[in-house]
Parts: sequence; C-alpha cells; structure tokens
Amino acid sequence: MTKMEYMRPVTVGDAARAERCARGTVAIVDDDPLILEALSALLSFEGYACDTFSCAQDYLDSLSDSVPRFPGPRCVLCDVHMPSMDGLALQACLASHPEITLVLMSGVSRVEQVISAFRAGASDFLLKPIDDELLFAAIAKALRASQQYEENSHVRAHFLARKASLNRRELEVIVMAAHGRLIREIADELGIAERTVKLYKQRASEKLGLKRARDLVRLVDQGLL
Amino acid sequence: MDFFDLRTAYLITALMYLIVPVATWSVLASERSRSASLWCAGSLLNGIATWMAIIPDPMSVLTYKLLIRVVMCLGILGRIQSLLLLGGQSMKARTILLIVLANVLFFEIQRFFFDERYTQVFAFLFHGLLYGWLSFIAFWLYRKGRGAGAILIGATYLIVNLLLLQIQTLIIRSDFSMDFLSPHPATIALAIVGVISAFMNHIGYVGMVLEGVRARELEAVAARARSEVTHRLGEQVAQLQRQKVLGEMSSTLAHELSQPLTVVLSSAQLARRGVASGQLDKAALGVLLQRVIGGSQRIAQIIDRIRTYIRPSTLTRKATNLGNVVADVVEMLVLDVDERKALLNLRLPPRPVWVTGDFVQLSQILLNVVRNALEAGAYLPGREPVLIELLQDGDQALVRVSDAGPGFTQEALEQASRSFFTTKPDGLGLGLPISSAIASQHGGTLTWHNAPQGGAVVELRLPILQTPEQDTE
Repeated sequence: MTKMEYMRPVTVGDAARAERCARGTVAIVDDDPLILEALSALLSFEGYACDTFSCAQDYLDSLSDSVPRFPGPRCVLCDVHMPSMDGLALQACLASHPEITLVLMSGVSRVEQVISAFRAGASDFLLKPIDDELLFAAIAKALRASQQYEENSHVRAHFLARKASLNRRELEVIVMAAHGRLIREIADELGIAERTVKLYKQRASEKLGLKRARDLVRLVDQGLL
Repeated sequence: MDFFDLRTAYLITALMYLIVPVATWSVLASERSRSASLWCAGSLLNGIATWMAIIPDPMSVLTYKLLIRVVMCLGILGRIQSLLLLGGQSMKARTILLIVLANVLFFEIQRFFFDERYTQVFAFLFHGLLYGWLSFIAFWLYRKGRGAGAILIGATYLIVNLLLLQIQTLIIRSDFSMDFLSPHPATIALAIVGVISAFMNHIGYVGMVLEGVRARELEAVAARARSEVTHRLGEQVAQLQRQKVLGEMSSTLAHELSQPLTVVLSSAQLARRGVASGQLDKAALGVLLQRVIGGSQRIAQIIDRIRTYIRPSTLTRKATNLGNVVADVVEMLVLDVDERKALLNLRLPPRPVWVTGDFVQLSQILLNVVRNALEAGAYLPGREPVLIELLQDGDQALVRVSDAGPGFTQEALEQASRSFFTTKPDGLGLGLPISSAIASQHGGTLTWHNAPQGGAVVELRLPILQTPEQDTE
C-alpha cells in the first residue's frame, strides 16, 4: 500500500477545510441535485467536509486523481437507485479502498438489496426521508470505522517494520516462544545454549516493543507472527 | 231468410277481399315486406276468384271454372307463403307450381271420371285442405310468439274450413239438390263468416306486423341498454387496470415521493438546528424555507398525478400534446428502467403533436405498451434499448414502441387482443385489449407485429388535430 501524501494547510481557507476533513470527509453521491444540496447543507452544518457528486463514476474518478488531501476519516453516503452505476455497484468498486466506509440510502426498501449491502460490508442503510439524528449517527459510526481502520493499518505497518529489524535468530526464537515453546526446548532444537536463547528473546521483545507475555499471544492471533 | 241474399253476401265478400287488402297494403307503409305483399296479393286473388265465381260466366264454362280454381288456389298459396315468411320459413317456387298443377290435374281427372256435379265439391275439398294448412300455419305462428293476430287468422280459417266441410257433407247428402248458393243455415253462416273474415284476417295480419315492430323496438332498446352496460363496465375495467398498474408501480411512487420529502425534512431540521444555535442568518433561513416549499409542491404534484390516474375517467376530450404524454410515461417508468438496467431511447419531434383525447387514458395505453416492451427486453443478456418514437405519418400521429426481445409468438399475434390472454405469469391479460379499446374510442388504432430484424413493434395511431384552440394539455 502506498503511503498517503497529506497536504499541509497554507491559507485560511485551507485551514478551515483541513479542520473539517479532520472531523471527517463525507462524499455524497445522488442523481438528484436537490438532495445533494439539502444533505450537504445539513452535514456541513455538523462540521464535516462535504463533497457532492451526481454520479458514482465521478466519485471514483476523483479517488484516482492524484490531488493530495487533508488527513482524516472518509466515508461515502450514496443512493442505491441511480442510472448507470448504482450504489451496490459502487460498493463493489470501493472494495479496494477499505479505509473508505459506505452508508447507503434509498427511497424504497428492497430486502434483498439491504441484505446484500450489509453482507458486502456497508456500514449502514438509511431510508429516505432521513431523520437528522439518524443521519448524524450513521455518518459518525461510518467515520469512526474509517478512523479505526486507518489506525489499525498504521499500527500494522509500524509493527511489520519492527519485525523486519529482527535478525534471523531473534525471529526464530521469538516465533517459537510465541507458540508456547519452553526455553529449554528452543535451546535443544536450535542447538544453542539456554542463556543465548534468553538473550535473543529479550532483544526481540525490546525491538518489537512488547511489554507483557499477553502481547506475544495476541500477535499470534492477529497472524503477525 | 228472404232479406238475406246469398249472392249479395258473396258479392260483398268479394268486394271486401278486393278493397281491404289494398287498404291494408297502403296502411302498412314502411312495413311492406315480401310477406305483406304476398298476403295482400293473396287476399286480392281470393277476392277476384270470389267475384268470378259469382258473376255470370262470360266464356266457356270449363276454362272459366279452371281459371277460378287456379286463381283461388294461388290466392291461398300466396297467403300461406306470406305466413311462412313471417315464421322464417319459405315454400319453394317449385312446390307452389306443383300444387297448382295438382289442382288442375285433379280438376281434369275428376271432370273426366266423375260427374259434373262433383266439381264444386272436389274444388272446395282441395281448397279446404289448403285452408286447413293455412290455419295450421297461423297457429304455428302464434306458438312462435308472433302475437294474438295469428290466432285471429287461424281461428277464422278454421271456422271457414269447418263450414266448408259441413256444406260439402250437406250437398252430398242432399244428393246435389243444393249448392253453395242454396239458402241454408250453413251456407248463410259461410257467407257471413266470409264477409267478416275479409277484415278479420287483415286485422290479424296487421296485428302480427305491429307485434313484430314492437319486438324489434324492444330488442333495439335492450341492445342499447346492453351496450351501455358494456361501455360502463369497460370504463370500470379500464379504471381498475389503471389502479392495478399503479399498485404495481408503488415502489416507483415511494421512491419518487421520498426524494422531495428528504429535501423537505433535511432542510426543515437544519433550519431548526440553525435557529436554535443562532448560526443561521435570515438569508440562509430563507433559502432553507424555499427548499421546504419547493419539495412540498413537488410532492403535491406527484400526488395529484396519482389521483388523476386512478379516478374514474369521464372521457374528457381536449387537445393533448402526445409529446407530453410520452414524456410523462417515461418519467413514471424511471425506476422500472433503472432496476432492469434497461435503456429507453426517445425520438421526439421538436414541435408538439396534437391529438384530441384524454391525457390519462392515452398515457394508460403507452404505459401498458412500454411496460410490456421493458419486460420483453428482460430476456436479453445485453442491454438493447427500447425505442419510443413519436412522428407524424400523413394526417395521423404515430407512436411506435420497438423492443429487441423475442417478439410475438404466432399464438400471441392472434390472441393478444382478446381479454385475459397473457404470457406473463402474474398477468391479467387486460393491458392490450383495454389499450385497443381506448385507441378505438379516440378514433385511432393500436396494432402490433414483429419487426423483420426480430423483436416486437407496437404502433398507436391517432388522428391529428390540426389547430388546437385554448384549453390544451
């Protein structure tokens, strides 16, 4: 995954925008311009950065252009029923952007659509007309999920970098220890002294920034070791 | 009995049978059917024969008597044929000829082999049989419901027949010392009945004609009532079909209504928040209120359209722009089109195309037709567009809907205009019949066929209104 290029705010206008983006960027996609107007007004009032698009393709194009953005969580609020690409198709295209969460909205409630939307990982599904409290709750939840994902991915990246800094022996020892092997067993298997094993294990733990034995087990659960 | 002269009585009968048929014929005026002509002609011949029988014989006896018999025979046969025609049947000309010939033959044989005196008896025997047949047919007509006049005729001839039998018997028994002109209660009775029968028969006949006229009028009224009921039922069915279609499109309606409602709700809620937090100035509030108003008006429009569509239609004839009808129908089907991932291709002329008609009913036709086309296209893997064209074809407006589906099967081509024929699993089979009926009511036609390159083509043709005045739609 490429690293994001983040802008630094320069002008006053930039600063305002940056503040909004930090709270959350909501991309609203609907073929009805009046709805775009009404919803973006409401969400802007709540302090979010709103970008409106009248078709899903426009939004996807905006993702792939290399304009750098201000940092912050991102989500999309999209109508299910649109000509050419509809909300569910957009959801499929966004699979490659797991850090962008999706809230769908619709004027009719087709059960199959709702089910498949949630199965494909939508954060929420709102029925029009949307009550403001419900809208804010759904957007907040979606942005929180986006935030969480970003944080998790940073943490992952950070850990993998640290793991790369271990040498071969340190890695072998800490992996075996993580899988519950005793120091004596590790020493026997690798053909080194127990004292050496203890040294390697301690060094690896420091490099990885592990504090408790529990952390080691958790790393195995997360598939990192 | 001196005051009663039989000869005079027969004279009067003869006169009656000459005058009354003519009078009847002229009175029947517009009801002069073949039957009436035959009846009057037959009676006239009867009168002539009676007259001939009474006046002194101008030519040689045999030929004269033969002539009387033939004329009398034809007179009765004419009336028999007339009544048969009233009952819907007919004697062949051959048969008539045969009977006359038989009469002549009978006369010749009888004259040859038997005594002169028997002539009269045999003549009246033969004619008696014919009269018997006539009264039988009259009673048959009564049973067929041709009215009381038939009884009158039947009864009269029955009495005549009985009297004739009686007289013949008397003549034979008296050993030919008497004849029809001898004074006797029976002959007097026959003379009187003869006079009365002249006008009784014609009254009876006119009575039957009147009965026929009345029956026809009743049938016409009943037919009119039936067609009115059919018309009204047809209108109700058309309305029900509109309601059904609307029901099927309820998700379209929900979607349509949810859009402006979202604008209204979000704008109003934003206004409330903004006012509560003091962050909204008057101008911004004005903008939000305008959005609320606009959204509400849009909702009102949609509801109004629904109301118009499902109300019972009193066929309003106004100048209607077919372009508007097509556009309205396309708008109603937007969600349908989206969901099927279909494409609608529109080819509309730049200027309006005017017809005289009812906006709602015309859109009902197009709604049915385009929905059919969209469903036909569902069979295809690709997304061939449904093509809707509006054009002017001479003095007709033509709306043509073509799809690239499987087209009509042979069975469908023949049966599609019949009610309750459908190829859809949950279809009612009323869309095309109702649409055809509406097209006819507007003076146009709805036709369908398969395109040479595959797919179905449905065409609605309506007469163009040249120059619309005010009050247009």
